[in-house]
Amino acid sequence: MTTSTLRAALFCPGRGSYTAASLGTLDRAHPFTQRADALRDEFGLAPLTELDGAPSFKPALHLAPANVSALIYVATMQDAEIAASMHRLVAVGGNSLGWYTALAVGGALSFDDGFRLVQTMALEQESFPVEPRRRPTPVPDRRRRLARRCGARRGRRRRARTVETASSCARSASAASKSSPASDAGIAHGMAQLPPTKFGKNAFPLQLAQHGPYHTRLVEPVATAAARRLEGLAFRAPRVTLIDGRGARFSPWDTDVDALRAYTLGTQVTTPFDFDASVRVALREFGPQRIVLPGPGNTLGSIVGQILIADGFAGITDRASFEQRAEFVASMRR
Amino acid sequence: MMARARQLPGATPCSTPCCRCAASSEDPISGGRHKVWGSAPLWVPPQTSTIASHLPKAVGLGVRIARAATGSTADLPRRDRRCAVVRRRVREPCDGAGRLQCRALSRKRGVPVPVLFLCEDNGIGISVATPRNWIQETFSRSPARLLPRRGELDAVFEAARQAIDIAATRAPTFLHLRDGAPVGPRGQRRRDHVPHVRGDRGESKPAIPLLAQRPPAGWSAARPPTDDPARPLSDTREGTRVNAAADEASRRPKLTTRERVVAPLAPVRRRGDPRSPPRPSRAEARSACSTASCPNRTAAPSARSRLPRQRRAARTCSPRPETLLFGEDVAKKGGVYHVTMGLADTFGVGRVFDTLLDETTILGLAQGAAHIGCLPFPEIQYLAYIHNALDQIRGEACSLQFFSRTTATCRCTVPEPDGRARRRPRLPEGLRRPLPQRQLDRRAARHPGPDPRRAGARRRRRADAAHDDRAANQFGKRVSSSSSRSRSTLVQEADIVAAALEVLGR
Repeated sequence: MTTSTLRAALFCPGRGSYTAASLGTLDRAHPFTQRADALRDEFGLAPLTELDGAPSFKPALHLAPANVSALIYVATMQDAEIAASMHRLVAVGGNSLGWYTALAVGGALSFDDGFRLVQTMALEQESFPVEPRRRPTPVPDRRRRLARRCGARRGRRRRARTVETASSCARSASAASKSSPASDAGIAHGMAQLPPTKFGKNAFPLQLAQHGPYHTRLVEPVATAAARRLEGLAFRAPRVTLIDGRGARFSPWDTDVDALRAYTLGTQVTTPFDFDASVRVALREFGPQRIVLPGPGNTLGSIVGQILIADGFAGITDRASFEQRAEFVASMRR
Repeated sequence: MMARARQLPGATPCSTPCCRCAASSEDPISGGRHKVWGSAPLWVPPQTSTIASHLPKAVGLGVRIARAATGSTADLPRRDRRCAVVRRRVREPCDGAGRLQCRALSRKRGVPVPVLFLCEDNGIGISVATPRNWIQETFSRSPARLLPRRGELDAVFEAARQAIDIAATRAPTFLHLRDGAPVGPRGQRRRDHVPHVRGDRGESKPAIPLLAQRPPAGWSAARPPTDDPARPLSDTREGTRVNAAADEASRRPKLTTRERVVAPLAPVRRRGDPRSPPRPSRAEARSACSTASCPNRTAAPSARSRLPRQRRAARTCSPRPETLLFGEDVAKKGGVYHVTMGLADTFGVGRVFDTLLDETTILGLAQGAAHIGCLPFPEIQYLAYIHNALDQIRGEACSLQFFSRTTATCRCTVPEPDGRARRRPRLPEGLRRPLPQRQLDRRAARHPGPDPRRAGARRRRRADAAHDDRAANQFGKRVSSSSSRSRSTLVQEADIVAAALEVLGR
């Protein structure tokens, strides 16, 4: 079997994937980087080559939404181009911000429009009025589902329940403060309700630096404003089937472009992103021979591993069998 | 069904049937017990047998969908409130029963039955060729509308769309589709049935629609990685995809122990199980039938046996809009012993109606309605015929939860007018008595319309004229407004039902 005939599903990473280790990994001569810098100039922002070529990693600078989103987008696109040349892509998905990249990888958006989407969303997020200090990060939905499934499988129902409670508390907090996004009394109340929980390496409630309450109703104003600013985006039917954060598929043959736009700029922003469902649909419906995870970083590696184990796909039922078939998940920036 | 599944995010229409064929315990509908085709989230009731009982089932589904469309039940998704579609590849004599049932219900009884009968005509059934024009000649005399279509995909699509519209809004519809399936129902290849068209050079080639869009050109210097016009669309090889899903399905877990196999056969819920609905205690049940809640009784019931079953059924029907009562004589005649007299007037023709003298149809109709949440009371006259019907009750209605992992159940009560009913119990008298002034005032404030005290008389006078209106105004809710007279009919019906519910202690 040659590499070029391998059927592969590709999943793009979201925010949090660009870290200090990713510094200097952008290909400066690549047309993507050059085009992105030209577009950054249009937005009046510093070029990505300058950010990526900085001598040291400064969280305040590099992790600002407007910078990190663009860096991740271009890095992922560069990796995805290599992956597309080495595999036969059968499905493309992403996690959170990765969905925007997936749109461009799949051909539903041009590179330019994909970049505008990512950059505009990030800028809108930055102008979001809630104080970052007291912003909770809701437990992602996939973690909740995984916790439930893994917990049930290994008899750890109690822990799964705790994680679930944490998740629901975070959501209720989000809902409570919906009426007045500027006052975070509801969030503070919700935070007080959250039990401290440790799941894997992560302790919940987890607070990512400079990270907004994405995928909750709290960001509805952001979605509305961004949709208004992004009216000119030319969505098209993709070249490869896209799998969104609900597990719905947009194929080259039957994509409703308006539905794709409405999901990307509306539903996706304000509802939990079910990465688990997206991967499961790719596995079950497309039977890929490999899952490709482009960079930056390798944030999705362990999550995809957990999903494979929870699903028991291709005989992968535990860590040992997963490690035996390590080539099944190809992380490009391991 | 795959097209339907495509509308549901997270559905796996390719993998799920593969799991089903591989008898995997992960098959969401049967759990590896049977190759049942069905789905709870897609509202496709599982059908296990190959006999034609699915035709009356479809009629039952249609009755239920019509009820949902009027807003009398809320749990059916709005987009599914159009019509029931029943598909049949091989014609059998039972088809006639299903259509007759539709005709009887929709025209003669005034019950709207949105059902689309879809006939996929492959010309051979299983192996014997269908006589020429047999379908057209047989079904053109049918009361259902005949929309024969054969041709290009868009023409068939348009015909199907029209048929659905007609079925959903006006009448049961029969759609005759010439089937171009290359494989017969038993797997034999039928190459001659693949539709062919003439190519540019006069050659014959299979008519495969080309729906994929060409890639957009000239976006930017930085082109998306997959946007290479020189490369084919990536996942055009559907066969590979299906094979991969089948490979994976063959690895999925199977049912291995006897306990797991029989688990859904009789899911006993013990007392105290939180999933069980709260059951009233004996004292509560008695007080529900006592003087307090039924003001027209002069004395408390001395024994439970004194309360006739039908009366209790009426009590059951009142607070539960999902109940249906039907049988051979239950509506117009009011039952062979007149025990259900007046119930059709009280609850409307959509809930209490007469059927044909056909037990298969009655029970099939009950199953169809029960599949999606109704609580039907299909009356069978008499015990001797229930013996005949037991096979259908046991083999289809009772086995459903086993074959569907309890995702689909068929809860219904089969009443039989036995000797006890001959005592001819009185109906809940409150339905026929004038209401207290206090309730009338409240009623008038709520529905500014004709005096409900005279509603019954007025409605009887207009019974004939309002027959057609009633079909549209089922369950006292108006579907379309055309005249003031029919609106007043509506108000009266609504009043009577509401009054009946109040008197019955709701």
